[in-house]
Amino acid sequence: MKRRNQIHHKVLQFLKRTDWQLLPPVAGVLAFGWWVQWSVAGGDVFPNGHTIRLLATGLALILAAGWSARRWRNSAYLIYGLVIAMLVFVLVSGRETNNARRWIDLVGGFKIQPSEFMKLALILFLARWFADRPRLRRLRELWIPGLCCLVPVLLILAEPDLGTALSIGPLFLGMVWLAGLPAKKWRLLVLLPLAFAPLAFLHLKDYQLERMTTWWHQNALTLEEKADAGYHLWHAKMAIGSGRLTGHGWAQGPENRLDRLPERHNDFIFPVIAEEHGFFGASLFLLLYALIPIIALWRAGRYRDPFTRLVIAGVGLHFGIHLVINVGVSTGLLPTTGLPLPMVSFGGSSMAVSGLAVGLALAVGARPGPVFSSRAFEG
Amino acid sequence: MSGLKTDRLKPILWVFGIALFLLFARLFQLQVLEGETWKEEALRSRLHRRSIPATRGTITDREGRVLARDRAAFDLMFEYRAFRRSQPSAQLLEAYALLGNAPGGLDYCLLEGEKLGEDLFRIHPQAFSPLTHSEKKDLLFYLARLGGMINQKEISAWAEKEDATFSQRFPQSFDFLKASLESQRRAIFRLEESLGQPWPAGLLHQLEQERQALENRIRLQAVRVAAGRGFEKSAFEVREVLTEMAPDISVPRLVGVEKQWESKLGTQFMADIVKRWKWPRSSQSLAELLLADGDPATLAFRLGQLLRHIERVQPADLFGVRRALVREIHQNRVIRLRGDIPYEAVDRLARLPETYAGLYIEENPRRVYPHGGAPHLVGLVRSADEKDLQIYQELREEYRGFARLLSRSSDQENRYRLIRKKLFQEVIRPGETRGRNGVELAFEGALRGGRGYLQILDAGEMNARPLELDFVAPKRGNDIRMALQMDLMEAAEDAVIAGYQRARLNLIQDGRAAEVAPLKNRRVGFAIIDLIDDSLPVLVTTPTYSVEEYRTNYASLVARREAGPLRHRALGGGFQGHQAPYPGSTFKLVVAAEALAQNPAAWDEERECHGSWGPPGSQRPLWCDYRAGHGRLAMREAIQRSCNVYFYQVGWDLGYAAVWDRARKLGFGAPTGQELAVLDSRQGRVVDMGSGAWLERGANDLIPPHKAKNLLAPLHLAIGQGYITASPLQMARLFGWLATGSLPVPRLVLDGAGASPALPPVEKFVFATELREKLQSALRAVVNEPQGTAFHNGEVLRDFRVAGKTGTAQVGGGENHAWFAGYYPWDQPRYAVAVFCENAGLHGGEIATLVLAEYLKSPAARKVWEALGQ
Repeated sequence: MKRRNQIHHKVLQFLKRTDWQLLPPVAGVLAFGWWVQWSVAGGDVFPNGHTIRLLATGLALILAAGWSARRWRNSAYLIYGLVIAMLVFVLVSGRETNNARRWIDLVGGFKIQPSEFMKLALILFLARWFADRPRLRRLRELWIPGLCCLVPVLLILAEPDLGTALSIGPLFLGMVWLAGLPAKKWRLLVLLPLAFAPLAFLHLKDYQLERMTTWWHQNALTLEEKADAGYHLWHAKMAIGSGRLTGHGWAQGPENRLDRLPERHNDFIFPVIAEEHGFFGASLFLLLYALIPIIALWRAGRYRDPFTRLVIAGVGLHFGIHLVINVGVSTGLLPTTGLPLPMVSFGGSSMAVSGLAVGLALAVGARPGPVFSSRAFEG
Repeated sequence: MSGLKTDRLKPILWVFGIALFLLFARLFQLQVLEGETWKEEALRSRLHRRSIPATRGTITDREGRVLARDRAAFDLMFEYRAFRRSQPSAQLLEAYALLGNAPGGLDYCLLEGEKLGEDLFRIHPQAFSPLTHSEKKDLLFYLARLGGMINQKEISAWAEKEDATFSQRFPQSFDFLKASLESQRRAIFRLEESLGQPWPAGLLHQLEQERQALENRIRLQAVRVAAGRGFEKSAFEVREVLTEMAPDISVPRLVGVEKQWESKLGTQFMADIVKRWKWPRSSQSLAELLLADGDPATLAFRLGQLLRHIERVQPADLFGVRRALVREIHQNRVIRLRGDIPYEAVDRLARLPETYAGLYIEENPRRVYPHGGAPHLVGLVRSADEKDLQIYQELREEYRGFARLLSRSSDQENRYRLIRKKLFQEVIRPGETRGRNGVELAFEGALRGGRGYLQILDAGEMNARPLELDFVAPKRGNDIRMALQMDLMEAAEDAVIAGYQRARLNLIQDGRAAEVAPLKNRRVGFAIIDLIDDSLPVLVTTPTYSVEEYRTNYASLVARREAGPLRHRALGGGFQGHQAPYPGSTFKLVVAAEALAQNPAAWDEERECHGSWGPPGSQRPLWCDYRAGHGRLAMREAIQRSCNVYFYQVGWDLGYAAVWDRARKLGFGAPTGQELAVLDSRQGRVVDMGSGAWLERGANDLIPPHKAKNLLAPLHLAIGQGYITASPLQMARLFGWLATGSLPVPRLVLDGAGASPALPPVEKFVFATELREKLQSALRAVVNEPQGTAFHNGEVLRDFRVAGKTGTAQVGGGENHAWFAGYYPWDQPRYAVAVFCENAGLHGGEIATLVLAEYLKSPAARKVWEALGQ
């Protein structure tokens, strides 16, 4: 009885001191993701690999949550520097697969993808930077943080990994907004990228330009385009649309089963969900996933400490941006680019970073318990 | 930092909310509003598409005689997936294979179907426990089909819960099986009768062989994919590396008969593979397997052994490969079982599609060559053979692999575009025909047309007819009209026979019977250019070959190197040493033209011929053809009498470089420009249409000055020996220029449906008309005046007002070549002509003029002459 009361007391303390509201949707998304990966693996075979990654994610979450907010804050710049070094290292000595250098081999056959860790490192860096300074008033104050974002973007582009590089831009803008840059300064900040957009177009490779073109007229694709530049888009939409209201059933989606949807374990996991679970299942999933950024952003507003706010909001932005881009690409709302869906897509580094991000949000949001002097009530 | 307002969060939440709303709206649009459409589209994309080949365009001659056309024909197609879903013999085979016990082939299963079925139906649900979920599902499907079950739920329930064998639970199933086997046997037997194929080594036996060949192809691809895995190469790249290991023989060059051999070896790659796979035998034995060389009967077994070995030592190389390739076998694999089947079989298959599910007809026209003339130039088509099918499969897999990549590096992108180009433009697909050589190849794009397709939903329910969902009609290819005129071509071929006959008679009459021997080999090139439009009404070579010989006995055509029927002597390519087409004295006109261009007064300059001459510093003189010497003569007479000494001296005075330059301007040393041979600047040589075509490759060579260091080089060049080769077509061009002042670019095709290659540039140069007229007078003298070298046998030539030049070219190790090149009628030149009698051993005036005369006398040539108003 006493033991049960102690456990009850500890749980209540945990619930009071942490942003536990994040955990249910996170757990739900992780479980859903595991279920979908099992389907992608064929339904016959238990997804051992993904299960291990899931457990590793949980572990990363717990470890990150266990680190104090003070330690996270103090290590922000160090972590950023470390990840930058890893990005440089990967370009020099990283493992090359299909003409891309994105991974560093570790012992035991494991490998990590530094670009995934950079997303978290940037959240920490920007939160610390803006928190340590008075409220942003002028654009010129963005030079250094802007440069510190641009450097990893360029390093990631050199790997090459266009999708990840593109996802950093909205994160930066979101953090800058949250840091308080006045609205009237945003004109230039928005106009600048638009002015450079034509230049960016010139640097796009032919196949990327072809994908933009096919995306633009996706409702009138020729047979050749469906087999070529529009292949991913066409099959993704076919998988989603053919799911209709209730879907084909778990592990029964033809695009999944017949291996016709490329990257369906990774960047195109959402079409598998939509194909097999239909509109109802896909909407439920979307809602569940959307709860994570919504809750994070809502909870961020309840903290006074700027670092805490920025970190939690940054974590929310991270998940929100990935959700919008990944599902937007899959449904044809956005041009085709490769960006995984954290906690659902296959990939150890992405899963680990997701766990770390949620753990980080819990850690910085943890409120310290009341501290009484051991002599407080002595007479 | 302080004062962060929480209302900063609200706009972000709003933006996110709007984005989320858009995502939901899009989902609603795709899945609810457009769900039916996407469902249809998804089904459509998984359907089997049968391509319908297009009718190839017709090739005609100048006057519309058909040289090549398509004839309607039907092929018998075997589609294994539909076959195994509907035919009891295949269902038995598949069921047993799932249980790990393949009893024999399709033919055995049909023959012993009752016994096999009885054994199979004794299966108990416990037998399913070692199977995977999908294997169990498949086995239940086949049992249901074999037993005539419509309700799949009954059979699933039996498999889950019941404790009885299949035959106990469904006692009527065996009667159904017996009836369907009997029905299949009758149907197959009737079909074999209509195909004219005897039983028992009949249709199903062939089906079984094709099925195994397909599996072998798949196994070979698996091995190549595995070989490439460790080195990031695709199966196609592995093939490319391995085929580079064979030596590639280049054309023997002219001077000194140097043979340059090129060979590339992929030995490093093989060494790496041997090491990676711990291959116990030699790398050559492994290369042979990867190239599918060696005994085909044991290939399947050896490939199977190799796959098992790889699974033991390097399983990562096969990871996923087996699964993907087994799926390949069981998807809609269509095999062309028999081509051009009799109409009775066509009718049966068309009337009874359900009975013959898995077997169907496909229209596939056959190319025929009704006339049979000019096979080198018209060309032939070829169908995809086993190697082509393998290449197509590998390329397609690599293409699909690239198409599925979300991001591609520059190298990958370049490779992808190369693969795409090869796949859609170059390789032959199953069932397709492509031009192999000649016009069939050069104008492939225009002739081919566009394939159509028929999209079919396979019978999903028992006894349902295949449903045709979509049809796109094929687009007929364009017709090509060649410049050749077949009646004139035949006249030229007959003229060669008649001319040689006449020359033989003349020799016998003149008491020179010993010189008759070389004339039994009638090796002649005969070219005529129509100077109105540069087209080629006549371009003849003898000996030649027939289409049938090419198709059935190609090896023996290749083996006849001396006769060289695969060469086209009017175009000059592919000669052996003593066949080199030195132009001889016909080339003197080039030297004369250069001499006049430098100094018009050279026309009247006289030089002394004592029968031989050597320049200062030479150790021995070179002889004139007339050893007694012509005495003193000027240019006109030198041309008329073909005095070598005169031209030695002129050539020496001009210098090698000047003559070389003039020759180059007149088109020598380069392809003639006709459409079937182009100069590939990358390879630095002429490329003929069709490998092994031997049209102009190696012909028309002109040694540049820096390689002609020999003291006597200008002399040899001046009389067209040693430092220059020229085809009859090239010589006809020269005389075309002499006739009109404009250098022709010969056209083999009059109407190429917009696909004719661009004309090569012709270097413009100025040459005074009056100088050219002087040369023309000399050419008239050759034929018309008693001391002309063509006078003696030139009655007919005079009748047709031919002006020209004879030539006799000496070749080391062989008999002389005999030439005549000219134009007619000399007052209003319409045709330029060149006749080349290879190794005839006589002078040009003794044989080449006779061939031309016989041609001009022919009814066909007369008709043309009369049409000119002559």
